Parts: sequence; C-alpha cells; structure tokens
Amino acid sequence: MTATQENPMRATTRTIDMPLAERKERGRAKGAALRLEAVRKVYGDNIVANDVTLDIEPGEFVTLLGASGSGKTTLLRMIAGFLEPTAGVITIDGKDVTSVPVHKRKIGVVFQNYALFPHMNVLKNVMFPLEMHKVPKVKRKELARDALAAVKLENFEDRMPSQLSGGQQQRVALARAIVMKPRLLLMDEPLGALDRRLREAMQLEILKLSRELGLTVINVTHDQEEAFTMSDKIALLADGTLIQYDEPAALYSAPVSEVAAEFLGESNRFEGQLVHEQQRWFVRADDIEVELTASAADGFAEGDRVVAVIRPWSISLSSADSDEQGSVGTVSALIYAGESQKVLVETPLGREFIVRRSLDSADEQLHEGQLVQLSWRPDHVVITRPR
Amino acid sequence: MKANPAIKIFGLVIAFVLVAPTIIVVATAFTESSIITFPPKGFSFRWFEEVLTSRQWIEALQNSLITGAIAAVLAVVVGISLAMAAARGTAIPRTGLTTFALMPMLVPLVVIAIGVYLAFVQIGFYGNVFALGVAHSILGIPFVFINVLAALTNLDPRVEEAARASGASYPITLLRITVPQILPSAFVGGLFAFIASWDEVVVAIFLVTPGFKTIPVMIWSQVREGLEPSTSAVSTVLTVVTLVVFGIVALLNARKSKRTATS
Ligand SMILES: Nc1ncnc2c1ncn2[C@@H]1O[C@H](COP(=O)(O)OP(=O)(O)OP(=O)(O)O)[C@@H](O)[C@H]1O
Ligand SMILES: [Mg+2]
Repeated sequence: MTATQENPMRATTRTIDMPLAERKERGRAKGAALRLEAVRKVYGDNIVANDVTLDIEPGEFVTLLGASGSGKTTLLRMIAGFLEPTAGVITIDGKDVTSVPVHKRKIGVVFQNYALFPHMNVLKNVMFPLEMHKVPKVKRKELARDALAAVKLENFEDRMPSQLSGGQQQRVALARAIVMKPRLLLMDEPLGALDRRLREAMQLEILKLSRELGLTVINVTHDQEEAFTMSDKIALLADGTLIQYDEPAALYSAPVSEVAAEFLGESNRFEGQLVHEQQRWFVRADDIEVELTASAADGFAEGDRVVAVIRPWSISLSSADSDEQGSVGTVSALIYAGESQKVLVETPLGREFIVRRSLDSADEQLHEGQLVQLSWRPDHVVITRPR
Repeated sequence: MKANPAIKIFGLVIAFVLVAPTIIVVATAFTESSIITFPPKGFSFRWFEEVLTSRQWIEALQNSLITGAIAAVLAVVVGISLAMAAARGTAIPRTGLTTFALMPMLVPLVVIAIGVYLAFVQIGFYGNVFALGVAHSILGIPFVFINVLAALTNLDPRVEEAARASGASYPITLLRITVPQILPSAFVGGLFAFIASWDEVVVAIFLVTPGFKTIPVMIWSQVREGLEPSTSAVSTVLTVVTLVVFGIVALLNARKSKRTATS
C-alpha cells in the first residue's frame, strides 16, 4: 500500500504523555468544543438530568462518572442527539445543535454492546460512515483500512461481526467511530463487557488514539479507576445533578461533598466538628481526633460539621504494644488484590479502617489478630461537607 | 424424558390420522389400473407421465407457480411495510395495525373471496395470474407480517443508532440497516405466502375462467367429474412442491439458529 503522508491515524508521536495544555494546542484544530447549558431531561416527574452545565474544551478527555441510574447515558444520548433535552442548550464549537438530528452532528459514537451491523463484514462496517458522508468511492477502502490499522485489526476485513471476539468487535466499533475523523467521540461504557486485562489494554489504546487524533472525547463509566486513568476531567453525576467537574487529582484531594468523596474509591471518613487549637486544626469525632493542615481547612470555619477523609493508601501500619498511645487496632482481615494488599483494622471502639499497602514494599508481614498502630500525615487528610 | 405409553399411543394415532390421507393419495398415484384403488394395483409412473405431458396440466402448473410467486412478492412488500409501521411507526397504534394485518387470517375465506370477486369483476380484473396473484397476496400478508414483526422486535436498536451516528438519515437507516437484517425472516414469510397461494381453491374458484385455471382448481373440477389416478398424481406433485418449500424453511431456520448459537 502507498504511504499516506499525513495520516493522523498513523502518527507515531507519543502524545499520550504530553501535558494537557500542549495537547489542547494541538487539539484545537481537530477536537470540538462542547458546551451544555442548563440541560434538563424529565421523564414524568423523574428529573434525569437536572440543569447540567458543562464546558468541555477541544481535545479534552472527559469522563461522566456516577452510580447506576445517575443519568450518564441520558446525558450522553442528548449530546449525541438520540434524545432531545426537555430544556437547555447544547453547543458544539459555539453552534447550537440542540435540534440538529444525529446524522448531521458529525460525531463518533461507541456503544457498550458494540452495535456492529451484523449483515456487513468488518470492512463494510467501517466503510459505512464514509459512504454516508459521500466520500469518493476510490478513497473509502484506504481510509477504512487506515482506521482498522489504527485499532490493530488489519487482517479481519472479511470477517462477519459474529465471527469476532468481544474485544475485536469493540475495535471494529472504534474504527467505525473514528473513520470519518469526527471531532467529538462519545463512548458509553465502551469497555464494560470486556474482561479486566483486555479492558486495561483497551483503555490505554483508546487514550493514545484519541490523543493522536486530537479528539474531544466523552466517556461514560461507573468504574472510578477507569475514570482516573483516562480522563483529563471527570464530571461526577448523582441523581441527574452534576456534583463536581474537575481534574481527577483535584477531585481526589478536594471532593466537594461526602457523596463525591465516597464515589472516588474507598476512603476512611470521620464526621465531626472542626476545631482550631494552638494554631492547629482538628476534626473531632466521638472516638478520634484527626489533624489536618491549615490549607485543607481553607474555606471552612471553626465549629463546622465536616467529614475528614483519609485514603487507604495514606495510612501506614506498624506493630504496636498494647499500651501504646494513638490509634491502635487489631487486624481483622488481610485481602490480596493484585499488586496490593488490603488490610482491615478494627479499633477498640469498633471503628473499621481500610488500609492499602503495596505487596513488594519492605513492610513487615502482618497476620490477622495482630495489634497495629495506624499513622498518617496530616497533609494527607482532606475535609468536606457531610452529605 | 420418558413419555407415558398412553401418550405415546395417542401421539401415534394422531400422527397416523394426519398423514394417512396423504399416504393414500400418493400411493394411488402409482397404480397401474385406470381407476383409483387402495391399496394400488402394481406400480407405474404412467399417471405422472400423463399429467406431465398434458398441455392443460402443464398450463395449470405454470399458472399456479406464477400466481404463487406474484402473491409471495406482493405479500413480502406489503407485509414488511405493515410490520415496520407496527414496530417503528407512531402514527397508527400497534394493536390496530396488527389486527389489520392479521385480518386475512381471521375473516372467513369465502367472505374474502366474495369481496375480492365483487371488486375485481367490477374492473374486469380476473382470469389471469396477476388478478389471482393480487388476491392471494392478501392471504399471504399475515405470514410475512408475523415473521417480520418478530424479527424487528428482536433487533438491537443500538445498531440503528450506530447507523444514524454514522451519518445515515432515518429512511436510509431503515433501507440499509433494518431491512437487510429482517430479510431472511421476510423470505420465510414469503415462502409461507407462496404455499398459501399454491394450494388455495376458494378464492381461486371465483377468479378463474375456462381458459385460466390453477392446479387446485383443476383438481377440484376433475374430482367432481369422477376420480382418476391422474388426479392423485397431480395431488402428489402439489404435495411434493409444498414439502420442498417447507424443507427450505426448515433449512433456513436451522442455519439461523446455528448462526445465533455461534455468535
Ligand atoms: N425512557 C425512559 N423513561 C423513563 N425513565 C428513564 C428512561 N430512560 C432512563 N430513565 C431513567 O433515567 C435515569 C437515568 O438513566 P440512565 O440510563 O441515564 O442512567 P446511567 O447513569 O446511564 O446508569 P447505568 O450506569 O446503569 O447505565 C434512571 O433512573 C432511569 O430509570
Ligand atoms: Mg448507562
């Protein structure tokens, strides 16, 4: 095959590690800017999207994260144009598309169940969007092959969808979604049906591909790990309401509420009163006092009811003598999870801590029933409002 | 699972009652004598020879085949349209459309026959394959409709959405994505529609003329004049064609279930 000179799908630059600002610069030409303004969807008296306002910049990878039924799919389907909002405006690159039909929005969509055309082979599936957009016949095959190469599926052109594995079907679906080089790619739990290893491999590939193409991507998932590995920004939804929209790190370190904190993975939470004594800040609960830094207390006032959040990775354990001071507990369970170990520690007052440690760390071996000392650094404590 | 002996015997009796007439007719077609007897005397193909060399029978055979084909094609087109409207349309409620499409199965055949006769004679549309084909297509519509509607209901709506997102308008999506997926079911429905026409007498009797007859009508008029082994031979041909068509249907279904099993 003749080499096409500037086929972005064959770009070899390692854009995956490029900082967001730089990618945005590249993406501006290719990715679309998306804006939702007070988008609302109501079924009967069930508010499924509650005045969601969201600004997505060109080239950004945004994940809609939320529990089942929180309205992620509904929001995505309104962006795609499969559903019309009850109220509100959706703009792509500043143009109001709220009432533009799906097939004129020029977006790529990937569904959880792949949704390949079962009566067409792989190549025809990928060529379909080209045909619909009246790309000259002579070019279609080559473009479709490029897209298939981009998802590493070169030798499957003649297979029917029913002759492919789930992962392969999803690659075809991805190739079909990007073959027209859309500026906006929407994915609804694209990896939900794949096993863990394949899912992680595909996450990386999708990320790489979308960055090489400079695409703006909106991905739906309820897997917080996936959201964290892939996203530039995460939009956290609960019951149709956007509760936080920020970069993953910010979401992790400054959850706006206990709901947000809870959703972003396991955490140890202590509800209590914020106290300020001798230039130091504490959250005081019945059975425990947790110190935090002044910057973490920023935005809160002394006497507020707050929730202190300590991530499982931030706690370290050491063996303790029974008479030692501080937070002491007994190991109630040891759970191995991949490369890490999860330790449940119960305090004498009945509070359970979740602690994570890496397996290859030089930490001493623990055993169930052992008495341990729990410790953490005050700057690893964040506080948020109770639910 | 072991069947109760009583149930087994009951089943055998029913099966016998169902196939016995066919066996008798087929057997008598191979007789050597000039009158129908059972059991048949000797064994020969002479009555088949007579039928297949008779201009009258050959013409009737052609008429029946063409009428059946026309009826099947029309039933497929109308059946698909009605099923689409029932499954995807919003203008007419689904139950209303379903009742309408299944009407030919519910209304007594004579009533349909008289209705068609009155209408067609008015405009002088009878005595040819087209008139009878159109009339018979009415009888075939329910078969296509039921098959296609079932197939449509089982389709994944996301596949159509994927086509829409690929830039296909709604009509193009129906044409390029939806219809091809339900075509195998429509084809099976069409085969049933063909059979419905192939052995139909009541409606046909109203629309035939001395110069235009179908096989079942010929058999009917011949039987009234007196039974001959040639009638049995023709009936055997009629049955064989029907069985072949059902064989095709069974084959298609087997292939379909194999495909869905592997996917
Ligand atoms: N057509 C509909 N009619 C009425 N209610 C609906 C309809 N579609 C969705 N809903 C409701 O809207 C809410 C949000 O649904 P949605 O499918 O957007 O959730 P989701 O966040 O995608 O969930 P999941 O993670 O399970 O896919 C749910 O409570 C659902 O019952
Ligand atoms: Mg969903």
